[in-house]
Amino acid sequence: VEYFLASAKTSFHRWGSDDLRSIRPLRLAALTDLSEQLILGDSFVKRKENFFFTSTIPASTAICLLGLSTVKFISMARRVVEISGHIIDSLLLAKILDLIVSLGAEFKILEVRIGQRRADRSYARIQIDAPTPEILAQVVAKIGEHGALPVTIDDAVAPENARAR
Amino acid sequence: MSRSRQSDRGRAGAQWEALRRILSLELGISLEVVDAESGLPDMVFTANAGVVWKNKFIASRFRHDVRQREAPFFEAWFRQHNFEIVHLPPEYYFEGEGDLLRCGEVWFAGYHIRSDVLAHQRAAEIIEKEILSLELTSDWFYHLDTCFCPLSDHQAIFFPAAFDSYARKVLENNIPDLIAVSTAEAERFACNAIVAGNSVVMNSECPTIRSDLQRAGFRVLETPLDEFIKAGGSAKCLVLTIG
Repeated sequence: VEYFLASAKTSFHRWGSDDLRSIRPLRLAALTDLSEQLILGDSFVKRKENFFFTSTIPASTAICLLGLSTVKFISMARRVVEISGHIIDSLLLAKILDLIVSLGAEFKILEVRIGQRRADRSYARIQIDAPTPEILAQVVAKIGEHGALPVTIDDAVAPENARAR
Repeated sequence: MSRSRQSDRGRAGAQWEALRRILSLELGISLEVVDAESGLPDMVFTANAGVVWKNKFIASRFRHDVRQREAPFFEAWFRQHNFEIVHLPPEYYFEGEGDLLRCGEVWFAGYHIRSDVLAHQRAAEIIEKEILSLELTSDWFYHLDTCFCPLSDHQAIFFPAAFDSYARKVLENNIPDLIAVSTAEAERFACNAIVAGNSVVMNSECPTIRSDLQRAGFRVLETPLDEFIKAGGSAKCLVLTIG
C-alpha cells in the first residue's frame, strides 16, 4: 500500500523529531477518515483515503523523520513563477516571498541571479506549493500584482533575455 | 484624475497662468505648452503623458479610458518635436512622470494603483538605470508624484502613509535625507511640487513643510492651486520635464 502525505498548513517545525518518531506507520494507517486524527500537542494528522494531512510540518520532513519508505509526498498544488528586474533593492523579492508564506503556501527558490551593478537586473524562479488549488490561485494572483509571472514546470528555464546582465 | 468636486474653469485658468508666470518669469524655466483638446480636461496634467529620457519619449498607457484618448495628442506633439516615441508593452499600464521620478542616480516608480510594476522593468531597460518600484496604498495618493518629491540627489519629501512598509524601507535605504509631510499638508498635495534648482513651487497653505524646506535651504514659492486639487493634481502634475 502506498500512502500520500500532504501538508495542510505551512507552519514549520512545531513538531520535534522525537514526536515524529513516536508516530508509527501502523498508527497512521489506523486512521480511517478525516473525522479521526492523531494529536500531538497542538498538531494533528488526519487521513482521507490514501492521503494524510499534517497540520503543522512540511510533509517531506515528516516522511524523512518517520522513515516510511512506502509513503510518498505529493504537493496539493504547485506552480513555478519567475520575477526579474530590480527586485532586490526594491524589496520586491522579499515582499513576494513574505506574501507566499502569509497566504498559507510554501516556496522554494529554484534559481536566483543577482545583477552585478546597480543598473543590472536580477532574476528569481520560485516554486510555490500550496495545500489547495484555491490557495495556490490566490497566491499566484496576489504576487502577480507585484511582478511574479507563472511559468509551466516543463519550461521553467529562464529565457536568455531575462538573465541578469 | 477625477474627483467628485467640480473645478471652477475661470479660477483654474487663473491659477494655471499664475503657475506659468512663476515658472517662466521668476525661475526662468523654458516652457512649451501643449494645446488643450476638447473633451479631455485632464490633459492639463501633462506629467502623466509619459517620460522623457534624452531624445526618447516613453509614452504612457493610461489605465482609464478617458485619459487613454489623450495619448495620441501627446505623442503627436513629441513626434513633431523630433523625439523618438517609445511604447511599453501594451498589456501594462504606465502613467508617465506621475509614477516615475528620479532622485540622484536612482529612479523611483509607483505602482499598484495606476501603473503596473512590470511596466517599470521595460522602462528600466530603456533608460538603463535602476528603477525601484514602490507600492502605493492610498487611492488619494494614486500617483507617486502626489506623495513623493525628490529635492536633490540625496533629499526628498514624502508622505509615509501613502506607501506600504516595503516601499518606506526602500526610500529610507536609498535617500539619506527624507522629510515627512503631515497628513493635512499631504492632502493639499504638498508633495506635488516642482523643484528647480534650489526653488520649490507648491500649492499654498502648507506652512509646516514650507518651514521645513526653508530650514533645509530651499526657496519656497507658493501659489494657490485648489481648483486642480479638486481634480486630483497640483503643481507637479501640471508639468512634464522635457529637458
